[in-house]
This record gives sequence, structure tokens and C-alpha cells, in this order.
Amino acid sequence: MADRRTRGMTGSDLSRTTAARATAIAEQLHYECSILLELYRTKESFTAEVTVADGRLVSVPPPSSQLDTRDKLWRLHSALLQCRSLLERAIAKEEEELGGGMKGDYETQRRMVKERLSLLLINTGELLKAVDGTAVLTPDLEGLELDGPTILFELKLWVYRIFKEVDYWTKTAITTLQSLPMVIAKERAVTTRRARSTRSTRR
Amino acid sequence: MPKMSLVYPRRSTCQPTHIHSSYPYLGWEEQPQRLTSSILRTEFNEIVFYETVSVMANQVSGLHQFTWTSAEPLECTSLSVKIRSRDGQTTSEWSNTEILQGNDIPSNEKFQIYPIDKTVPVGSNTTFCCIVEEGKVFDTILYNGAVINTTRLSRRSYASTVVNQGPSQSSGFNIICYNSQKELAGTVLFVGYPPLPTDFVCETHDLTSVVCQWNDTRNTLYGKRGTRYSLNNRDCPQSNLWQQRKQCILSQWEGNFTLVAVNPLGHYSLTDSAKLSHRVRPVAPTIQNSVVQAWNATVQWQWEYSTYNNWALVCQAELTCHGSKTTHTFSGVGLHSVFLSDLYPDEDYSVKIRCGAQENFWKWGNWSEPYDFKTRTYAPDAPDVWVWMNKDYTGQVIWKPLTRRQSHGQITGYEVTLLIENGQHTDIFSPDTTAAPVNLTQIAASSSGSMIIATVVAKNTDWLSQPTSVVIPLRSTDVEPQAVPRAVFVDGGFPLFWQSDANTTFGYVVEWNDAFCTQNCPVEWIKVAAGNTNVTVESGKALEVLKVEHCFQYVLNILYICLLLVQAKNSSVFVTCYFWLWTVFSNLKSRIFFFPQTET
Repeated sequence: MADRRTRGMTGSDLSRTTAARATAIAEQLHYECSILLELYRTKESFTAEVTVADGRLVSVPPPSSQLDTRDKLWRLHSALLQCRSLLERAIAKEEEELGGGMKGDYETQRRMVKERLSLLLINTGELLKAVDGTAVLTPDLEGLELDGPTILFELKLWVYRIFKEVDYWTKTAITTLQSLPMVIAKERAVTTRRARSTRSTRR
Repeated sequence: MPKMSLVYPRRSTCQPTHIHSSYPYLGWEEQPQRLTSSILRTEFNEIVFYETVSVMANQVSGLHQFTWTSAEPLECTSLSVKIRSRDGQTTSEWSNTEILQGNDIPSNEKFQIYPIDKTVPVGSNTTFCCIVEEGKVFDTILYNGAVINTTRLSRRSYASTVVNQGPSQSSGFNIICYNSQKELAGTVLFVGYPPLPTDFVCETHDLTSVVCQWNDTRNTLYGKRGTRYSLNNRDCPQSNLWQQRKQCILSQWEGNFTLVAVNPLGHYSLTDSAKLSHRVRPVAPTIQNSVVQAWNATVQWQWEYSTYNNWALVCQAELTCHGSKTTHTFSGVGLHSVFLSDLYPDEDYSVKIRCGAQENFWKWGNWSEPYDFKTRTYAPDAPDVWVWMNKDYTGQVIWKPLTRRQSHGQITGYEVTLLIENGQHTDIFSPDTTAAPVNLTQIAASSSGSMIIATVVAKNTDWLSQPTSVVIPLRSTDVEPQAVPRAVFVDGGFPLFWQSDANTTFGYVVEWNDAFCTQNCPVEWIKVAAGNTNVTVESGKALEVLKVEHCFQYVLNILYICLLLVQAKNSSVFVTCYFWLWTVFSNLKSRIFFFPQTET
């Protein structure tokens, strides 16, 4: 059965399909992030003047044109992993400090973003495995500020900053995933060599 | 609220020597002291408070003490405090000035806002202050997104007051201070209510543990500030605070229950007290199975708790059939089944059960989930059969279609058997048939008998009805129907009366048909038991036999009657309606048959 599946769809087809699917998920997540940010601003009566600190919350190597596609994919996946950890922590802190009320649109959207981010991570993980062949990395959370402020207004700004961080890396994901033909070409070569090796062994 | 306690020792003179907020000296002065206090904002030397008050000595500490509450948080700006005593017209020297340092001093350069994360009751007034960063310029303060007016307290400190505050949302109100470079500092304020639970009541569902419930409708504080409940000094798990109806469970019935509700704005307690046997509310039973017959059914259920096995219960069964509901009540110890009688065959029923304590009834438990069942079929009722014969020995054996309640199942057809001298002949008719044509011309010519018996049997999917027979006379017999005089329409029907006949043992059949009809006439009939000599025919039943093709005849009659009405100057529509019906019925030929109709 597995052989038939391989013959029906090559590895490059799978990668192309996964990349396309991941791109679609990232675009959907970006849309949902924008709704989440708007709901949060409305809930907290934040005007456009409410801004958060510059600089990234996640810790990844700086962007560089020297990075190959594999490294770009690894960097993206690592950032998204850290984003999810931050998002989970933000939700936990909000619930601890302010939770217990009726769940409305904001809480629903917040959960949807977290679940969509998890789905995106599954797909970027699959792409990374297809390219790299290694096990999916676990996030290195050392240095990641997960405790969150104790003063409530600072906590709110921290949560807002995390939502913006997720939004930023979602846009980065779209750009990175859309520029993945190199990955597919490489995978086509690798998969073809593997298929030939399997057939010759069977004979 | 920020408070500063000013204390000074008793002296024989009224000269205060020290201003403390801590430990006392001893003195002997027993009389109240008149004390003048002066509090200024240090930087701008503005008077915040200047009053003379009478202050009694504290019996324990021996010190005179009074408390002044600042409208602004004490962090907002430094305050200069001094006091002196007054004795009639004489005042002492001022004490040394004490500086209560605020956070707007140059050594504290940060951008700050106060108070931090405060909770106040609805209707409060709250004053906020913003201390801009050293070297920066103040711009605005926003309260929940709206700009509020400010007053300047010092070089770096600005204050705003919001009055009569309404309740905040679950995440509180944001108070944000901006400087001219749009940098910000913020704080959160929660405005809510102290707890006020109501309708506190405890009951048991399993005859062992306790479930206490109450309402708290004014919950606007959530998370760490939400109301915490405890029942008999045991903490209740945090439930959804937005739900008005709350509950807490104890493992054993204790008889007396105290609920305590606490939040940052206050506390409240309620009590309830009762015996366990007076607060039993059973859970909903789970209907498991049923034993179903045609006219009754036994429904059985299971209880979640074995403690019910020895408890006297009263239960209700609500039975639904075609949207019509009936309720049956029954009782017993450990009740777990019910016998439902007076059902109808081949019907779909839905039943649900709920129970309560039979003794010291408290409340009904919840209804079970509905349980559907269908009764079995049964033999149909015997059909009501009659016969119409034309003058030429043709005619029809007719019967009334069985109603749903009479069918006891889906009617599949009718069997009509003619029993003649030398045999019998049976025909089967579809379920929507109500007449079987008969042609007795040849039989009448060849037979020496005087009658034929027609028998009709109704069939449903599983059963046959009892047969109903009628006699079809072949010759003119002694049985001659009696004509009925024209009836008068009264109260929606036509009452008919006749003379009784001593020879009548089985009863009478009253039939009526369209008077203008001569062949294969639609006919209606009523069978009347012996001993009765009257019957009322409903107007609807009366009109059913009229043929459309005879309408012209009917209209003529109506016009005739209308002419009579006009002449009589009687134009009442209501009377006219009655007369119309009377006129129509007068076109019916009504006959009553007196004969011992064969009933088998």
C-alpha cells in the first residue's frame, strides 16, 4: 500500500502540497490575527497611540540573505514554536488574573489563533522533515520571557505585544513559504534517487 | 484610601511636640484637645487641608490621634504637615513640619501612574495621578479611552478625578497617561460590587451528600478579584463567575449550612437549615426498557444511586401521543417501573418520568429523557354496515370506514361475503372502499328465499375484525320503514322521534338520503338500541348525503323561503341560516327501519 502511494504521488508532490497547504494556513492565521488584535484593542479601549516596545520577543538568528532555504525554514519554525509558547502563557495569565467571565468573541478568537498556529507548526514541521530528514526540533525556551509582568496594565501590554509578535511571524511565514521552489526541486532529486534504489532492491 | 495618622502625646499644655504615625507616649490629659492641622503640597505650597478638630485621647495608647484621608494617592506628590493645639483663644506654636515624601521627587525619575490595580465599589469617586518622567512634558490622561480633566499637583505630577463610577468590564478600566512624545504609563481600575448572594438553599440528590445553590446577580469582578465562596468553612471550587446560579457540594448532610462570600469589596453570609429527609430531590431516572402490549405497557428505569432502593418515592409519568399529553402519578418504595393502561393499539407513544420524595415532599426531580415505544396491533372493531337496495334488485352493501381508534392497526382491506341459499361469495375490497355493489336480479328470480345475508369483515396487518352482518330482503317483506315527518333544525342538529314497536328487540336503524336521488343513493344511518325512540342527526351528517347535481332544487327551495322571509319582514341573517339548513334537510328523505336487524 505504501509503495502504491509513493508511486501515485512523489515526494516532491507531497512537499509542494505541504508548502501550499502551509501557505494557505499562514494566510488564514494572518487574517485571524488581525481580527484578534482588533478585538483586543476594542476590549481594552486602546487607541492607535497605544504602542508596544520595538524589538522581537522570540529569539532566533538574525535574518540574512546568506541563509539557505533550509535555514530559513528552520528559523521560521523555531520562531513560530516560541510564539506558541508565548501565546499559551499569555492566555494562561489572562485567565488567571481576569478570567471566569462569560466567553465572548475575544476568547473564541484567541483560541482559534492558538489552534491555527498549532496547525501551521505541524505543516512547517513536515516541511522541515521533508527537507532536512531530521526529527522536528523542540523549542529552546531559554531566554524566553514567559513569566509576564505582575502589574496588570503592563501585563495587558505584554499580551498585546505577543499578539503582534504572532502577527509578525505569520506574515514572515507567508513570505518564506511562498519562496520555497528550491526546496521542492531538491526534494525531487532526493526522492527520485530513493525510488530508484527501492525498485532495484526489489528486483 | 491613603491615610496619614497624626498622633501627639498628652501634655498639660497644648503644645504638641511630635508628629508620629507609630508609637505612643503616655500622658495624663483626659480632656479632648482642639487640634489645628495644616497639610500643604510641598512643591507648590498649596493648602490641601487646614482645619481645627477636637480629638479624644486613645484610652490604650494615651495619644491623641486623628486620621486624614487624601483624595489623591500619597505617592502623587510630597506633603508638608504641621499641627498646633488650641485652647479657647490661645494657640500653641506650630510643630515641626513633617514631609511625607511622594514619588515625584527628582531621584525617582520614572514615568508613573497611581493607584495601581485598585478595586473600588460602584458609585465611588477615584482620583488618579500621573507623574511624568523627569525632563518630559505631560499631555493627557485617558479613562477607558476618554480624555479626563486634570489638575497639576507639582512640577511632574498631574491628577484627575472620576466621579460616580459605573461597573467595569471583566478586565477593568484602563487609565493611561501620555506625555508629549506619546509615551505612556497605565494602570487598571476595577469597579464592582461587594458580594450579595440570595436564595441560598440546600438539598440532597443521592440521600447522602449536600448540594447548596444560591444566586449572585451582581458579579462584575473576575479572576483574582472574583468572589470566593465557602460553605461551612470549606472553600467552594471556583465556578463560572458569570453564571448567576451557583452551587457547592459537601459530602455529608450536616443539617446547618453557612455560606460566606468574600471579595475585595466586602463579605456576606447566608444560612440554611433542614433535615435531610425534608430536602430530597431525586435525580432524573434512566428509562431502560419496556414490555409493550396492545392496550398497555410496563416501562422500567434505573436509578443512579442505590440509596433510592429503600426510599418512598412518588413519581409522575407524562405520556404523549399525537401531541396530546396525559400525566399519571404513582408511588412506592424504590419505585423503578410503571404500568401504563388505557393505551390504544398501534400508536406511537413517548413517556418521561420524574420523581420526588413521597414523605415530606420537597421538589420534583428532573424529567428523564423521553422514551418512545409503539403499542401492538389488535383486532379491528367490527364495521358498522348497512345496505341500500334500488327497486331493480341492484344496490350496495355499505359500511362506515373505521377510524384510527377503531382500526387498531393499518387497515388492509374489507371482506364482503354474500350468504345465499346454495353457498356464499366473498369479495375483497381495498381499505379506502366503503361500498360493495350487489346485483341480486338473478338470485331474486331463481331463489325461493326471502333474504340474503351480507357480512363484512375488516382486516388490518395482523388481525381480522368480528363480522358484521345485514339482511338484504329479496321480496317485499313485512318490514316497512316508517317515514319521519320533516324535522326542525335545533341547536346544530335535527332531532327525530318515532313510535316504539313492541316487536322490535334488537333496535332501530335511522337512515336518510337525498330526496331527489332515485338510484344508488348516498345514504347515512344511525343504529339505535331498542328502547330508544329518538335520535338527533348532526347537520353536517345530514348534508353529507346531498348530491351536487340537485343543488338547483335546493336553491329554489331557499329562494322560496327567502320570499317568505321578506314578506314577513324578517331579515335576520341568523334566522335565515337556520331556515336554509332546515330547507336543505327538508330535501332529505328520512326513514326509520324497525326490524330485528341481524347482528353477529
